[in-house]
Amino acid sequence: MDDHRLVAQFQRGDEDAFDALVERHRKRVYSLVCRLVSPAEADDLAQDVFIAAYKALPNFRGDSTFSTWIYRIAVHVCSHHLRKRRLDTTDLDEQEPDQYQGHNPEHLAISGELQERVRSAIEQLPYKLRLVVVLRDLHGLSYEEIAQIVGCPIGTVRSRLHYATQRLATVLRPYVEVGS
Amino acid sequence: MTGCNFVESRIRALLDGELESRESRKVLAHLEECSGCRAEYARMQAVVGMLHEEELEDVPAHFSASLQVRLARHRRERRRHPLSPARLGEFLARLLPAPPRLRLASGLTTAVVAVGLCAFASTRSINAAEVARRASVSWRNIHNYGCVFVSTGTYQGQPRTFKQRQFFRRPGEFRLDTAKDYRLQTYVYQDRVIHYIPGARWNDRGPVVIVRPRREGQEALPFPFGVTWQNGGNVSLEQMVRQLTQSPDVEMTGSEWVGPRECYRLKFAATPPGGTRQDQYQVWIDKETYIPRRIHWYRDEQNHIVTEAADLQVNYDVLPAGTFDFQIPDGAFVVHGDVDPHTLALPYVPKRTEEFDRKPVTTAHELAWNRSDRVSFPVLAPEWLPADYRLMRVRARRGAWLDIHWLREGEKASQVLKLVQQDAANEPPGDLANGQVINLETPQGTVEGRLVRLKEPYPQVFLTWKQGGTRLTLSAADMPEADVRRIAESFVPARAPEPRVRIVRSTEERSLVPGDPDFVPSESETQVATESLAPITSSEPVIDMSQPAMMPEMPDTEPMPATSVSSTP
Repeated sequence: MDDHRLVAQFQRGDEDAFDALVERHRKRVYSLVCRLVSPAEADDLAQDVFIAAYKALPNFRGDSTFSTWIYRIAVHVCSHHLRKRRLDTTDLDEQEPDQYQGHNPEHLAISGELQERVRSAIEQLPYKLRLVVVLRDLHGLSYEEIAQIVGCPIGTVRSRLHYATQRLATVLRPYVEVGS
Repeated sequence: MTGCNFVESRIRALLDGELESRESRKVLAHLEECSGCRAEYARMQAVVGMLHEEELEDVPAHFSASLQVRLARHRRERRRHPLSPARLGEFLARLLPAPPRLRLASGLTTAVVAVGLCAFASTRSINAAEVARRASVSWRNIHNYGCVFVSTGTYQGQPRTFKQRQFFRRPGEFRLDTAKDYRLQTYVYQDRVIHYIPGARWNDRGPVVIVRPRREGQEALPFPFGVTWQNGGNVSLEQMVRQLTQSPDVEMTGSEWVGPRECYRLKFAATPPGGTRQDQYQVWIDKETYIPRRIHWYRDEQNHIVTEAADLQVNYDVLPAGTFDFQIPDGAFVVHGDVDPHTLALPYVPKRTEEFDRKPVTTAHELAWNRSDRVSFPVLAPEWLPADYRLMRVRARRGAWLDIHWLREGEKASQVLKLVQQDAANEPPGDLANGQVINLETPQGTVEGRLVRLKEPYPQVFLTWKQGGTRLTLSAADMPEADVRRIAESFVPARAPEPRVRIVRSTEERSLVPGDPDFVPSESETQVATESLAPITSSEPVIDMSQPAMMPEMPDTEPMPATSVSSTP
């Protein structure tokens, strides 16, 4: 059964349909929240997302897909949380990534540390850049979907991804150096 | 010719296949010719490749259960108001072919439609073991809760009702508020239990604050049910859930609403820790949160209690700020000792006299001797106490135990010395069973004792031993261990009152010679007066020792489950 039908069932009073929607989307929501806030807070905030969805779903009109809609709630919940905590908001230049103090990349890759470096590099991105990278590269969303979720023009998505990728290339330089 | 800046800013989009074909061709053409941009392309391609290797995080195992717990509140709200008239109209407009549209004019119509909608509610089938498992998961994911628990039923043939407000937060802190016969707030922290009794006084000093050590094995507090095991311990939700998951014969007996919640009803038999016989239990487990909402304990016609959690809120913004923060009020009378609140909160019966202060040893002997006919074991009393201790009170439960409290008044904190006597057949209470073995030189010879020392929240010594047919347990706050031993080694059989000893009873004096017709209060087996040298008068409360423990009482070192007080004679 697709999301659309589950939403309709829930709106007719079938509470189980909501559980099915949670089951279907919890991994994506949890994972997104995990990347946008600290993992320690992800549990509660991901639950906040579904609580908010539960409350709002009776009025969901289906103008977008349920998937996009729940992503939008997740982004809203995380943004609101970070704003409340006065964490980094978004100036592209406000954070300089730590310079990598290198090890042998092969060794790191073998030991799994490379993955840690990539994760850490993503974490160091300013929030707005991190958001588009996570939605695009980890969740595989199109630029149009990202624009809908984030609430900005597609051109902005494109430029943010460009800046984000450049920053990541700098931080991860030891692993991405290639011959010209 | 396309510039490098133009190309570089589009490389990422090119990699993502998000460039229009015309732009794409331009960028590709430039890359053919420009080695710098080709290097940039390769760099970005490598980065994107790494990013695509990243995996989505796994959802924690408890996530769904935690979410269900939180959703429950909103589901309850929705059940109460399934659809507002406005939403209902909107909803029906979607359902019904238009035109004509149904216009809702009355609340009755709303109600009828709402009832009809309930038919959509799920009827998933699930077995008892699965319910127990989910209850277990649900409990593990409770970070905090608040509720009111209400107990009603019969205990030892007597009616029982009790109501208490509870708050809990992990890893194991509680606050428990009652106002049954006196106002009492209990704060249970990691290493201590604090009882705050606003209305209690000692020598005109008050309010009273009792600070007790929280001892090993006292982690079991009732959630949200005040059912008490036979040995005086309380049944926690955790214990109940463990019992559910371990009992091979848990049986699902149906589905039932408890207040606003639809619940599974499970039935099982269990032998309480330390007990010898099985009792029957029914537990109602919430279908959405898997939290028990009601417990029915049944032993026989004379003993059965139903406890229900009302206004239960879990894990989400339920605890008011400062719920667990207790500040000792200025001028409070602070007591150190493993003392239950009744000792200081209930009126003294009979009234204390100067003999209590001037002769704390002799008076204890006499009052204990006067109660010795209520218990089957020999009653003893110490011949020696450290200086400045005064006798507080002597209590007895018929056929069960006798205790004596002394108190040494201090400026910042006062110390209580407590003695509990039981039949020698009783095992060492609680963690004393594993206490340090020591030898005591009593007047009746050398006996083996068990000793436990606590350092927090203040130095506290517990010592238990058998002497003749009696088990004695001392607990002493802020007292040197040598003094505790010296007290223990001074115990002799309680002496009868000398003829000159008279204790004031209300406005008249009366003889305390046993055999005096007024000496033994007329009381039933199930309603035991304490420290009554004089009969209970209608103005004096009766401690109902017969009732199962409610919190705030922690399981005591002695088998004293009573914490509920009846204000009627």
